[in-house]
Amino acid sequence: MVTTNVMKSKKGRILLVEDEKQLVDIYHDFLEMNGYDFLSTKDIAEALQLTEFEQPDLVLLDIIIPKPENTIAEQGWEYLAAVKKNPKTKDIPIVVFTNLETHRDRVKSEKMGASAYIFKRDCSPREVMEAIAEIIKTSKEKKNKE
Amino acid sequence: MPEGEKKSEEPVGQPGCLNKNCWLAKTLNHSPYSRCQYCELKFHQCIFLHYQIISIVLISLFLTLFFLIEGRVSELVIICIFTLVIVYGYFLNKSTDKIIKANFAQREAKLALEKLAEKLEERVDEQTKDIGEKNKYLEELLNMKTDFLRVVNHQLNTPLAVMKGYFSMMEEGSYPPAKARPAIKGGLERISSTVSDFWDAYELEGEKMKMEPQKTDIAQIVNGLIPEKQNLQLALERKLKIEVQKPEFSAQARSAFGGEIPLVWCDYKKIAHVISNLLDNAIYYTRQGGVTVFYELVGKNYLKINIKDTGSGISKQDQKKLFQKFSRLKNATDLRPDGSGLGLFIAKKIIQGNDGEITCFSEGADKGSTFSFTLPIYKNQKLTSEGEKSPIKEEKIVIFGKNN
Repeated sequence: MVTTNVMKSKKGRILLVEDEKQLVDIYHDFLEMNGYDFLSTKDIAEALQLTEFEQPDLVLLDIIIPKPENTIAEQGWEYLAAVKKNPKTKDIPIVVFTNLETHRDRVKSEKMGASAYIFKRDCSPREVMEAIAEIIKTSKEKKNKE
Repeated sequence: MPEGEKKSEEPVGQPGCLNKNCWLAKTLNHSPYSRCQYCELKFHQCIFLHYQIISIVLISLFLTLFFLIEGRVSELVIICIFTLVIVYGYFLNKSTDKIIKANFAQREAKLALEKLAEKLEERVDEQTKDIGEKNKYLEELLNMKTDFLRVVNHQLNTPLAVMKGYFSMMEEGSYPPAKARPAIKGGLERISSTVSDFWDAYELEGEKMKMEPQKTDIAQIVNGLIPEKQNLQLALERKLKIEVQKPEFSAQARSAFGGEIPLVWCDYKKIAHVISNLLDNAIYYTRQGGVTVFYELVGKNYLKINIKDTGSGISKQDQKKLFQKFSRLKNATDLRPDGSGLGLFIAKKIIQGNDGEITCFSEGADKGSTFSFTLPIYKNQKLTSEGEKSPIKEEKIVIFGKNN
């Protein structure tokens, strides 16, 4: 887990919930290089705590996250449901960031309140970052209006 | 007609029912008129009765008429009338016969149809049940396949995503190639091993994989693999102890095969793949403790290789499903995150292809498990003339999903 307790940077703070170490490394390097605060974890319970206490501007959420005993499980859905249920975290935009490409998964994540659906394989880090920037911008505008 | 009487108890409409109201049945039911056995025309419908009434009315009418006109009835007229009545009666009687026969035929056809319908219903019921069962099985299979494809998809996409990430950053120039290269290489290796697993599984299903048996020193394979496995990240993290138990075969046996462990007759490369796979599994599912390899002799002709771990164990129910393709165990330890889910299926097919047998023993969840397989001891076997001894004897068609 990478936790930074520095002041929030201008661009925003991203939480990546992901089990694939190499992907975490890429995004860690890339997003920090581009001025984002970066947090990551592969543990769902920890991710929920981080979401509540660190209040990231956006969460990148992988769906298939193995349980600690190495079982493949689609824990991402549980996390998504829990975040949207908690009044403290329900306004944080969540981007489903996954390798599942079925229509069903897309619809499911939309229904559960995800802000966007990114298919991992198709996007380079830069494209992901652009999408993230856009979503953070809209969510901040919305916040300011309120 | 005794038979008819016997059957008179039958309900109306059934063959054998005697309509007691039928005059024909009561009076004329004997040869050559024994025809009312199946007549089910009701009393007022009985055409024979109609014809009788009409005849009587006609006779009386004519007689009265002639009596009134001439004061007496001429004999000729009486004879004429009787002849007419008889002729008329004959034809009417004939048509009654026809009607009754037609009725009878209709009845028979109806009954036959009913019987057929009943039988059909029975058969349809039976087949519906059968189809239902098959459908359920197919559905299960389909679910398994969907699950499996989902995993495959994930398994192939993940390294692709990683590689794409590194590559695009490298292209942008924002990442040093030296740092990206090993990650890309690792991803490629992961993809190719996954793909080759699927290919193996496909080939083994159609039993196209040819075994190339040779004199093989199992101990050498195992001893070669152990340091490699010991250095796996997971084994290091969990401080697992991976070791080989020294075999304690009798001196007699040892002299028979001229060494500590007998040589076996099998496909070296494929068996090495199986052992490596079994060791990997043992490591993945063992959180603490270790993995032990030990050898046994089975009779005079087989060597048994056991890989025992102190891991999560397998419930009795799941042990049955273990070697099936596409099957994922429902308990906690179903799939390794990076496994294809085909390892044990492939292992089973390879072992069978080498004239051996693979089994799994576990006392239950959390009690560790032992995977064992046998291989024939080398006794001057030779390749058959074409060099492709057909190795797989049993299970000509592999039905995945079905309990063995």
